[in-house]
Amino acid sequence: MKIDFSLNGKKVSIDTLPEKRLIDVIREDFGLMTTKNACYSGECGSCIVQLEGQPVPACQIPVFTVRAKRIITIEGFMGTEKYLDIINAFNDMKCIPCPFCFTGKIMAVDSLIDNQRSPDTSEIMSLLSDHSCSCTSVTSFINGVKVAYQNREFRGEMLK
Amino acid sequence: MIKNIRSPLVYYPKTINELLSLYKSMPDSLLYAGGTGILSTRNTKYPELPPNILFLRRIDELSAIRRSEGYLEIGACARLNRILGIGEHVLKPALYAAIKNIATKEVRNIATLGGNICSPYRSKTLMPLLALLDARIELRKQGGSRWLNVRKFIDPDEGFQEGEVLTRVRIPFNNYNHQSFIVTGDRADYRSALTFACFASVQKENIASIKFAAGVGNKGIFRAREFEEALAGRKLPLYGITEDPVFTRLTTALKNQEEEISSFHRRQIEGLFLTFMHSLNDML
Repeated sequence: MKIDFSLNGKKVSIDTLPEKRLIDVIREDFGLMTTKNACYSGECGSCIVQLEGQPVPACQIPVFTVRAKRIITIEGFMGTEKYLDIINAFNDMKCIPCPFCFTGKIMAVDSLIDNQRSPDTSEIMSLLSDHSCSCTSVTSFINGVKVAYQNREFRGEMLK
Repeated sequence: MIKNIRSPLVYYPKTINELLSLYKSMPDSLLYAGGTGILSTRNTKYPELPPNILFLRRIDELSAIRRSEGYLEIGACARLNRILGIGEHVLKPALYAAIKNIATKEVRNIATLGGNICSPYRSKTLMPLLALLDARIELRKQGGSRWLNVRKFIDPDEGFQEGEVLTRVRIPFNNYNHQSFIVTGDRADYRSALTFACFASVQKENIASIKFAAGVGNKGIFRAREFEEALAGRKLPLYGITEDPVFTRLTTALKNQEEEISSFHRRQIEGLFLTFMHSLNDML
């Protein structure tokens, strides 16, 4: 089955089995290996991509559902200033997610701080509990998210 | 031996009429909206799917959310996070908590309300609550439609008939001033999950009305109407309720469900109900 969609801002087309999971298409057919796959059941949070701007687990999406949709993976997200807001904050707060959960946590944090209001600790804890990897220190993660929000807010004000 | 594998054919209907017509001609096809219940239980690289798939997400009408004076009407393919976006003040605390409790935020971006109601693979977390709210669902097939109470929908004789598709859920607004919704058990194993919902309307230190429902896994809904009726009109605070003869009605009703509800879950239901009653006492 031929499926057209937008991947990291570029229009792509792929001829594949419709039931193939998006995570496998991204990794195997397009060679974008930073997004990881661990559980195939949507529980671990390591395969998150943005589908039409919303974070979704790519392992829960068969490729036939993304026809004519817009997908951003971490590779596409890395080239944006939004990414710098988060990664700079994480570096400052010594919050270093492991390579397995890195993608999922960065994508989820982006969605949280994009809500135009300061995230509180319970929201951040809830986000962290959605990711089964416990590599990150909770305190540094909470601080990292709060600073990332400040970075984004500051950049937004500078743009105004 | 090499298995003869055929990849599924996917259809993208754009209107409900188109969908119903396709479904009538291919009654064995899989209705696919969010698909989280389907894919999360098939942890293989290529999930085995039926030969024909009807993809519902291109039908705008199925994702519509409407609010009228007396009720909220939600399309079966409305994503759970979009429903949460309506706000807690409209959804009321119990329904808001119930939806927020389902899976992770990322999964809720694709999971749908219809999926939670229909999926045989997952715990139907919302069903006891929707039953308490007297929610009604619309089932449509080519040439007709019918509205059905959620409680009746669970009954295999009254549920889906051939060619029928769940299209809308109508949830009446309620005025219960005390609401509780709790899920216990392992998220990954739906058979262990217990869903408990309880509403009470308290006026001038009296219980004007109270009702509760519980569900275990994806089985039916447990209600104890006699017990609810016996509690209505009682004055608060209600201390020592476990010694109250009214409470035995609950334990008896639960015991009658021995085959459906394990003793562990029965004790949990009693405990959760007592916790709710304590919270009513504490409100005074």
